[in-house]
Amino acid sequence: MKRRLWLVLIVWLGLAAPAWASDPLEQTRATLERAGTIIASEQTHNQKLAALSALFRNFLDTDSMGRAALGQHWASFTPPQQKEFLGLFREMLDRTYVQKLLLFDKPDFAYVAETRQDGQARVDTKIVTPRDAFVVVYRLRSDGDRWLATKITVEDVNLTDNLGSQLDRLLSRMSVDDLLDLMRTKYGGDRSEAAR
Amino acid sequence: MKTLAVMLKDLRLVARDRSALASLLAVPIVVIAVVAQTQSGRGSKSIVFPVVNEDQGPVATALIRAFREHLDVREMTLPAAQRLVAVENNAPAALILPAQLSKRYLTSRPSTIELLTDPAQWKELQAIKVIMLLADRETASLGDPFRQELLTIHERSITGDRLSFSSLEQNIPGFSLMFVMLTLVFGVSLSLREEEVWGTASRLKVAPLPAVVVLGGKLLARLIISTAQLLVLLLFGHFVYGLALGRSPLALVLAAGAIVFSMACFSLIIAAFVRTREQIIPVGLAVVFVLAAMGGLFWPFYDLPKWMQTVANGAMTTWSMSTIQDLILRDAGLAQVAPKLLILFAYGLVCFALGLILFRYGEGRYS
Repeated sequence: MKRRLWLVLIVWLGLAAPAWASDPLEQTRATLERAGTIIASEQTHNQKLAALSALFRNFLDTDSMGRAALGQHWASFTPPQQKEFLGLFREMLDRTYVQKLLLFDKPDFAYVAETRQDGQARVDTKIVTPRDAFVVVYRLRSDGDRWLATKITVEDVNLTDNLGSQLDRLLSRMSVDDLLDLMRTKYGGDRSEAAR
Repeated sequence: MKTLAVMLKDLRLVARDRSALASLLAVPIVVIAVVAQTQSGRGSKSIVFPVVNEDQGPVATALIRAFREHLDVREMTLPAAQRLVAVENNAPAALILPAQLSKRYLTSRPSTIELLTDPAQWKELQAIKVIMLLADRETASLGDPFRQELLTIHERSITGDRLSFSSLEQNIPGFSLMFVMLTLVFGVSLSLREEEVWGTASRLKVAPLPAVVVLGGKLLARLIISTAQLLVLLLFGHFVYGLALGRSPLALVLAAGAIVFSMACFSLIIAAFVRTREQIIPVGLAVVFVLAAMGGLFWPFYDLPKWMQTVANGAMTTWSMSTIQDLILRDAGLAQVAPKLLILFAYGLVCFALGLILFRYGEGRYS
């Protein structure tokens, strides 16, 4: 019961995050600090994952990331395939970014700088560990009164490009339907199954 | 009626030998208790797994956490880990998590982690490999969407040329040593007590020969027979089952000699304690089974609980099996096994000296 209350509270805080954010850096800080609280909490792995996914759903622009990852292949998808792909891509991004955050026991986030240009923003952050620091750069776009991350770079490696090259490799040897089948198998089911 | 009388007479005879009667139950109970203890380890949790954490990042931490669920993980420096695996043989493998592992993993770049192994501890090594697969899966589930092989394990034996062994390489030397020990314990005890049955004991007792010469000569004969027996059994394993015999035939022959010497001299102590044939069988079997179980002749030594491993260091079977494993599994040469050969030789000398003090002709029931 106590855990459920925690979960509800954290999800609610996650959903409420954009309303509090005034600028890209502040919004990134608010999101990451809440992420840190979730990671450091006593919940199970799957509960943390669910809470983090809900939190980042309001911070990551997974649709634009999905389109960017597919690149030239986007046009070869039919609209229903595109819609399904974007749903599955969101789950896939959970695996690459959100779940990786869970590797850190108690992540200590540092906020380095914020730069803005043409309605776009760049927020440089670090995940500091006792021995090392991991540079994570978020590129954000304005979406009404909130900012959405369209690109995440970890240690100079762009997550979207990374996923894009994997998708490109897969599409060079399988059809769009086969790719969607594969993604459905991996990310279309129950989250606890996918996490295994 | 006559049958009943014969039966009653025999029962009286058996009842007269109280020690033999007591050993009918006491000895099997002791053997069962010891064997049960040898198998009461903490499973994989008792396996020491040194980890050299050069990464100190979140991925290394996650891996170590996953290993800790199943193994006795100890973080240490590379030289300490190498020593634990290759010199002390107290751990079947050591894992090196390289610097930058976390950075590479988090950016989906593959890394190679090195597993330094002692394949002679094959059973524990297999357990470690299974656990590593589980840990890798667990960590992979946190990472890459298409489960790229981000962690490649490079296995390197630091105690020999081979990376794996079969259970035959445990069982053939183990059972060979056990049968040699059985032959010696029964052979020495029975032959000495039979001297009393035949009446030669009383003549030897008054002969102008010191006990060291008589007993030494008898043990020397057993030494030659049992050394040949052990070597033939190992050769049988080699030619029929492909058992490796190491790189030094001389070391193998000397090891066989030292092992048999320690066992033969130990048999003299057993012969001093047992007075009748009825006692020899249960006591001999009990001693052989207990020493075989404790010395790692039936199952790998590292399966034993830690306290029993410590106790077993006082048994010649432990040193015997360890020497054989050094030679055939770790490709050790004479120089490497020389300290263990000296220990076995010293063990034999001490047992012989004790045997000389304890053994007396004519103290058996038949004299």
